[in-house]
Amino acid sequence: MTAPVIDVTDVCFGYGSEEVLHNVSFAVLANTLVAVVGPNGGGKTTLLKLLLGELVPRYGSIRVLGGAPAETRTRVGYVPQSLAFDPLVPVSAREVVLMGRVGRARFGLYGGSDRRRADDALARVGLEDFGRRAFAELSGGERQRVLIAQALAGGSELLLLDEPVANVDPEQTERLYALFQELTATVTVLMVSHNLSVVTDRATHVLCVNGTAELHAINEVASSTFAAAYGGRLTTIRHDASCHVLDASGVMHRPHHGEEG
Amino acid sequence: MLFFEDFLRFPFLRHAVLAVVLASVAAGLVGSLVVVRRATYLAGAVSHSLLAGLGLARLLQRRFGIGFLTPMGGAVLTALAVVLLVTHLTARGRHRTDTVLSAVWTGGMALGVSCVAATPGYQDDLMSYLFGSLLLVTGTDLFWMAVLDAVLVAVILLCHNRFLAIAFNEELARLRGVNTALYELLFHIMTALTMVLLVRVVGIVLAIALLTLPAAAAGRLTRSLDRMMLLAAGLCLLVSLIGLVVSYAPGWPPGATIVELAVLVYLGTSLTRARR
Repeated sequence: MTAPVIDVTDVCFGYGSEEVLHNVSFAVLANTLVAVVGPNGGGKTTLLKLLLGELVPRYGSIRVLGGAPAETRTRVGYVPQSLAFDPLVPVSAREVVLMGRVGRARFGLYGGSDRRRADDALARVGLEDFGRRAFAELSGGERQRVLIAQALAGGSELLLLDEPVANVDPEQTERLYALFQELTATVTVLMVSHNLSVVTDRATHVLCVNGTAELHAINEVASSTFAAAYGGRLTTIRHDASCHVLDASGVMHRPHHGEEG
Repeated sequence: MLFFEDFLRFPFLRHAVLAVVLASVAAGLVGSLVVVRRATYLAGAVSHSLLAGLGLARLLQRRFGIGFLTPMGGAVLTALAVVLLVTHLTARGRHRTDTVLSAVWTGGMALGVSCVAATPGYQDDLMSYLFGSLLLVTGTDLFWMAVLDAVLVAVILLCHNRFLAIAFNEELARLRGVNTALYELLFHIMTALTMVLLVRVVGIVLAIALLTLPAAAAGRLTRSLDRMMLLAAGLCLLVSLIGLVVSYAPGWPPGATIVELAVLVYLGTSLTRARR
C-alpha cells in the first residue's frame, strides 16, 4: 500500500492560550485534489503552515512526503492567499517564477533547463507573454497566476494552495481549476477554496476544517438534504453527528444554528 | 586643465581615480541590494560606528606604540563586530532593529570621539575620518580595496538570485530551500565591508550617500536588479570622477563635491518621470 503524501495524527495547535486546531487527524493519498473548506478563522491557513513546517504542532505528528515538514518543504509548492511584497523591488514575472527553482540550483544560479521550466509554467497559467513585465505592474489576479507558475516551476510533488484564484477572473479561474485537476496525474494538490463548483466538480476529496478537520471522499458529500430550502444551490457535507452546509458564495453554515430554514 | 596636467605628474591623483573606480564597483553592487532591502539605516549605523575602530587603532598606535593594528584594520574589525552584533540581536525579532542600530550608530561615534580626544598630537585625523581623504589614498589602500572588490563581485555573481528572492519575499525564499539567515548575515557582512571601503573615499558622514543615492537613482531607471547594479556602479563612477575633477582646481573637499553631485543625480531621476 502506498504511504500517504500527508499524514496528520492527533495534532493540536494554538496561538497563545487559544487553541485553533484540536485533535486533527487525516491522511491524503497521492494524486488527489483535496478542497479545503471551512469558515474564516477555522484554521485552514494554520493547517497549511503546519504542513509547510512554518508552525510546529503542540501535540501530535505530521508527516509530509514521508518526512518532517521542515525537511521536505522544498518538495512542496506553496501559493499564499495574499503575498506581501515590496513593489519597489525590481523583479519581472519570469524572475518570480524562476524563484521556484532558487533552492535547487547551485548557488541559485539558473541554467537553461530552469528557464525552460519557468517559461513552460508561465504558459500553463496563460501568461506566456508576461514574462518580462514587472511583477508589481501586474493585476492581483495576474500576480496570483505568476505565483502558481512559481509553484509549478519548482517541480513540486505536493501543491498547497491557499485560495489560489482569489482576484482571478472567472475565465482564468475555470482554466486554472482544470489545470489543477490535470496536475493530479503527477502531483497531489491541497487547495483552500470557497468555490463550490470546485468542491463538487473537480476535487476528489473535501477536507472540512473548523477547529478540527474531517476528510471526505467526494462521493460522501450529499447535496440533497437542504437543497430545496436554499433553492437548489447548496451542498451539504456530512461528518460525525453534525452537518455543514456551503452556499453558492462559499459561506459555511451550521444547520443547528438555525440554517434549516 | 590643472587636474589632467597633475594627473600625469602626481601618483596621488592616479591613486584617487583608481580609488573611486574601485569604490564605485562596490557601491553599485552592494548599494543596490541595500536600497532594495531598505537597509540604509544599517549602512548608516555601520558607517558611523567605524569611527570607534579608526579612533581606537590610532590611539593604540600613538599612545601605546601598538603598530600592527592600522586604522583601516580597526575599521574592518569594527564593521564585522557591529554586523555580527546587529544580526544576533535582531534575529527573530528579539530586539527592535531601529533601536539596536541607533545604539550602534551613536555608541560607535561616541567611542570614536573619545579615542580621538585621548590620542596625543595634532588631531587632523578626525576630519579625515568624517569627510574622507581621497587625495591621501596609498598604494596599500588600493590593494586592499581591490581585494575587497574581488570578494564582493564574486559573492554577488554567485548569490544574486538568492538575494533577490529574499528581497522579494523572505518566507517564499525560505520555503524554496534558501538559508535566509545565512544570506542575511552575508548581506550584512558585505554591507559592512563596503562601508569601510567607501569611508576611505568620502568619509564616515558621506559614505551612506555614495552607497545609496546612485543605486536609488538607478532603481528609478530600470526594473532589473542586474541592470540596477551595473547602472548604479556607472552613476557612482560618473559622479565620483566629475566630483574629483571639478573640486581639484578650486581646492574644494572632493568627498563633499561627489556627494553633492550624487544628490543632484538622485533628485534628477526622482523628480522626472522614470523611463523603464
